[in-house]
Amino acid sequence: MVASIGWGVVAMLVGVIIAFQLNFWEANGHVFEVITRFLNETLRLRFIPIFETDGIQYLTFGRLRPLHTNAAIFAFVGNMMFAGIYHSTQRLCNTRTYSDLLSKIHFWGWQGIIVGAAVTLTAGLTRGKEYAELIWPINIAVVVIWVVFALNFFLTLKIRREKSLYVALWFYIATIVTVAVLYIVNHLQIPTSLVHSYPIFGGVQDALVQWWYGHNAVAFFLTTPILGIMYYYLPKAANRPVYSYRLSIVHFWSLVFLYIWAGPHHLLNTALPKWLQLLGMFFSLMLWAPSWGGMINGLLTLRGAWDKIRTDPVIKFFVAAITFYGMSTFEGPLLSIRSVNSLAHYTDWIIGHVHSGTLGWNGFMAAGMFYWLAPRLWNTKLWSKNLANFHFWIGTVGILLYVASLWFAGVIQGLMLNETDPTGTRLVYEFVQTVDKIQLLMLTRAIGGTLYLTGFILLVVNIWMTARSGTPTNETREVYDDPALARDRMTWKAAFRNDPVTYTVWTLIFGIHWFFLPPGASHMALICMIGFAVMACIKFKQNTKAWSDWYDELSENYLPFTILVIVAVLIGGVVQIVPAITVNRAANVEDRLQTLYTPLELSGRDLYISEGCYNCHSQMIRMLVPDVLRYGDYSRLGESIYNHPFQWGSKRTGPDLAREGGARGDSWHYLHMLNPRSINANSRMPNYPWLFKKETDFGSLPGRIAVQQRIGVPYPIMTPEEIEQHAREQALAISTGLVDQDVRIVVGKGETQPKTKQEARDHLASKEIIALIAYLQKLGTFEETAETGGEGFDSLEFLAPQVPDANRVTVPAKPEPTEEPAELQQ
Amino acid sequence: MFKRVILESWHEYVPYVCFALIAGAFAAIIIRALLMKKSEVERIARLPLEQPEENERTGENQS
Amino acid sequence: MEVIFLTTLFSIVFAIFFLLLFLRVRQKGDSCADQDSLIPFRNENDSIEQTDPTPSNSSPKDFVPKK
Repeated sequence: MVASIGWGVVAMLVGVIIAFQLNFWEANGHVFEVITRFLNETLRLRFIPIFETDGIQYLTFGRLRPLHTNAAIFAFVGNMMFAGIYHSTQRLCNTRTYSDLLSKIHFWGWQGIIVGAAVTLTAGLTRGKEYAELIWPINIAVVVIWVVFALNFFLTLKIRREKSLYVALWFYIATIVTVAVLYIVNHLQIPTSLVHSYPIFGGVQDALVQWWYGHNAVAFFLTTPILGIMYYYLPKAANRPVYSYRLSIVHFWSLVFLYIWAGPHHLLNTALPKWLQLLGMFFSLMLWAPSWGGMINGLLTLRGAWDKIRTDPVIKFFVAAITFYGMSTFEGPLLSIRSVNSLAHYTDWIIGHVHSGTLGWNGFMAAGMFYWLAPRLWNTKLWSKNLANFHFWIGTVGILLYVASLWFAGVIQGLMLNETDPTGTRLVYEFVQTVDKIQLLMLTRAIGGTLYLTGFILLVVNIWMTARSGTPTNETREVYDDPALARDRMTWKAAFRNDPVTYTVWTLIFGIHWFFLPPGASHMALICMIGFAVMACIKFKQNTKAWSDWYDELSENYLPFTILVIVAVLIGGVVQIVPAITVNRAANVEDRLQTLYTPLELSGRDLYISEGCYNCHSQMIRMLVPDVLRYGDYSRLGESIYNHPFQWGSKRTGPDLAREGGARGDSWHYLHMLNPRSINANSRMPNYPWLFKKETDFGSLPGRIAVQQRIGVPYPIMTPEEIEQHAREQALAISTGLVDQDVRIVVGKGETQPKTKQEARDHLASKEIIALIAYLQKLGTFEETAETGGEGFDSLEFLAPQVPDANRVTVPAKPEPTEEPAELQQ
Repeated sequence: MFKRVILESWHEYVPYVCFALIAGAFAAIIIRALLMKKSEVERIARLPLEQPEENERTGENQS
Repeated sequence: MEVIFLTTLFSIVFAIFFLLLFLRVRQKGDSCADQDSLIPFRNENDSIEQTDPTPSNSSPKDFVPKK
C-alpha cells in the first residue's frame, strides 16, 4: 500500500509535467534554462549558473509519457491491486498467505522492476509498444515475479478454509491468468542487444496483438482486479452484502469473455481488415452490459445504507469511483462505434475517456481502499476525516475539469480536422490551427490534473499521520479448521462435461462458424447457434436447481474454475489473432508492399522509436475523406507490414507522417528537429538538439538486420562490412546535400566547429539526425504488387468476411486530391 | 454525419462558459455552506433519508 | 444514424435483460451462491469505528449475518 501511494505520487507528478509540456514546449527541459536565466540575469543572482540547454533528452514528452503510463498502471495500480488482493484473499480464504517468502520476493521484485522502468524509459530504452515499452530483461523479470505472485495466490486458494470462492476471488483469478497470457504473447521478441529487441510480429499483426494486449491490460489489470477489490471492500465499508450474487455471476463470465474481443476498437477505420474492426466494434458494444452489471451491483449494494455517504469518506470515494466506472464503460462502447471513432480517434477525447477511468475509477477506488485500510493496519483512527473529505472534493473537481477539457478539446480538434469546404474537396484548417484552438483547454486540463495530484498529496499526509498515530498491527483471527472441509472435490469430468458448459461451447462454436463461413453455410450455422441458445434457456428453466448446484460446486473448486476462465479468455484471442497471423502476411498482401528500409533508415527508425515520436505522431492514414485529403492516399495493409514494431500510432498531437517521405526537403527536417518553432511558430514540439551531437550506432546495424531477417523481413544477405558501408555512404550523401545548403552545424561539448565543407560533411554524416532524416524521407514508399480486382469494401458481405480480406485492394473512384500532397496544408 | 456539424467561431467559448457556470455554482454552494449556522448544519445533516411513516414532515430529502 | 440505432438497440436489450433477471425482490437465499455473498462478514473482528455514525431518524436496516 505504501509503495502504491509513493509511486502514485510519482506517476501523477509525471502526468502533470507532461500535461504542461503539451502547453509549453519549454517544459521539455528548456524551462531550467529559463528559470536559471531569470534568476541570474533579471534578479541578478549571479551565483546561480545558467543551465544552458534547449532541452533535456531525458525529460522530453516522448520519454516521459511512457514513464507516466507505466508508473500509473504498473506501479500505482499494480501495487494497490497487490495490496488489496493479499489483504482480502487471506480474509476470504480464512487462511494466511501461502508463503511469506514469496510475498517478499513479489514485493521487492516488483519495486525493482519499477525502478528499472524509470531508469530505462527516460534513457530512451524502449520497445515502442504502448504499455509494453519495457525492454526485454525487465520483461523477463515481470514474468518471473508474476509467476511468483500466481503461485502464492493459487497455493493460498489451495489451502483455504472457506469452501466457496467468493466473487472477488474469481476476479483475481481472471486477472492473474489473463495478464500472464497477454503479457507473454505481446512481449514475444528477439533481442538485438542487452537493451534492444524487435517484436516477432510486424505491421498489422503487431497492431492487432498490441491492441489485444493493450485493451486487455486495461481490462484485466485496471478493471477486473479493482472490481474484485470493490466486491470485498465496498460490502465491508458499507456493512452490507453485495446486491445480487446472481448478477455477479452473469457479469463476471460475460465480462471476461467479451472483453478480449474488444481490442480492434483501437484500430477502427485503419488498414486492419474490416471483419476484425466490426468484431471489435460489436463486442465492445456488448461489453457495455457486463460492465454496467458490475456498476449496478456495486451501487445497489448501498441500498439502505446511503446515509453513510454523508459521513464516511471511504463510501464517498467508492461511490464516485463506481459512478466514474459506469461513465467510462458507457463512453468506451460509444467511442467504439465506427462513426463516432472517425471523429474521436487520434484526438484528446480518447485521452479524456482514459482518464475518467483511471483517475475516477482506479484512483478513487485506491483512495477509498487506503483510507479504509490504514486505520486497520495501524490499529487507530483515520487522522483527519475532514482532510479525506477535502481530498474527495478537490479530486472530483480535478477529474471533472480534466475530463471536460479534453472532451471539448477532442471534439473541437476532430471537427476542425474533418471540416471541408462546401464542395467537399478542400480542407479548411491547417493542423497547427487546431493545436492553437485547444491550447487553453490543454491548460485547464493540466490544472485539473494538478488539483487531482494535490488531493492525492493530501492522502499521503493523512495516511502518514494516521500511521504515526498508531502502531502496526497484525490482525489475528480464530478460524475453525475443518479437516473434512468439502472443497476442491470436483472431478474434471464433472467440471467440463455438463450441460451449462456444453451448451455454451456449442453456441459459441456455431457463432464463430456463422461469422466465418460463406453464405449458405453461415445461415445454417446461425440457425444452429440460435437453436442451441434457445435450448440452453429451456434446459436452464427445466433444470435450474441442477445448473445452479453445478455452479455452486464450481465455485468451490479453484482449479476447474481457473481452467474455464482461461478457456473463456483464450477464445477471443484465438479467433482474432490466428487468422491475422496466418493470412495477413507479406506474401499474401495485394496492391502495395512496403519497400525495405536501408540499414541507415532502420537505424533512424529505431531512433524515432527510442525518442518516443510515436506518442504524438501516427503513421496510418485512415479510409476517411478528410484524412486522405490532408495526408494523401489511405494507408494499405502492406505498406507497414515489415515494421517491427508497428508505428500506426494512437494519438495525433502532431500530424500523421505516413506519407512524409519526399514531401519536404532534407533541410526542412534538419531545421525542424533542431527547433520546430523556426518552421512553425506555434509548434509545441520539443527541440531535439542532442540528435545533432550524438553519433549513429553503425556498429549495431549488422546485428539488428540479422534479427530482422530472423523475424521474416526479407533483407538480402549482406556482410557486416557491406551493411556499414551502405549506411555510411547514404549518410554522407544526405549530409553533403545539407552542407551544400549551408545549414548550421551544431557541435557538442569538446568538439570543434568544422572549418571546411568536407569536414562539415564528414562531421555531420555520423550524427543521428542524418539517420532520422533518412527514415523520415522513406515513409510512405512502397512497391506495387499484382492487383487482383476485388469487390469494394463497402459491400454488404461484411457478415461473411472473406479471408484474405477483399478490401485491401485499391478501391476505384475515390475523390482524388486535386493537389500534390506536398502542397496540402499540413 | 459529421459533415453537417460545422465548428463556428463562437463555439470556442462554450467550454469556458460551462466551466465558469460550474465554478460559480460550486462556489455559491460552498459559500452557503460556510456561512450557514452550525445549528442549521446539524439540523440538515439529521434529515432522514426516507419518508417517515407518520407523514408529518413534507419536502424532506429523499435518497 | 449508426450511433443512435446501436445505442438505442443495446440499451433496450440490456434493460429488458436486466429487468427480467435481476429486479425480482432479492432471492430468498436458499442456494449456496446467495449465502456466499456473506463470506466477507464471517469471522470478522475488524469493527474499528473510524466514523461516528451520524444520528439520523432513518433506521438503516443494520445487517446481521444469517448463520
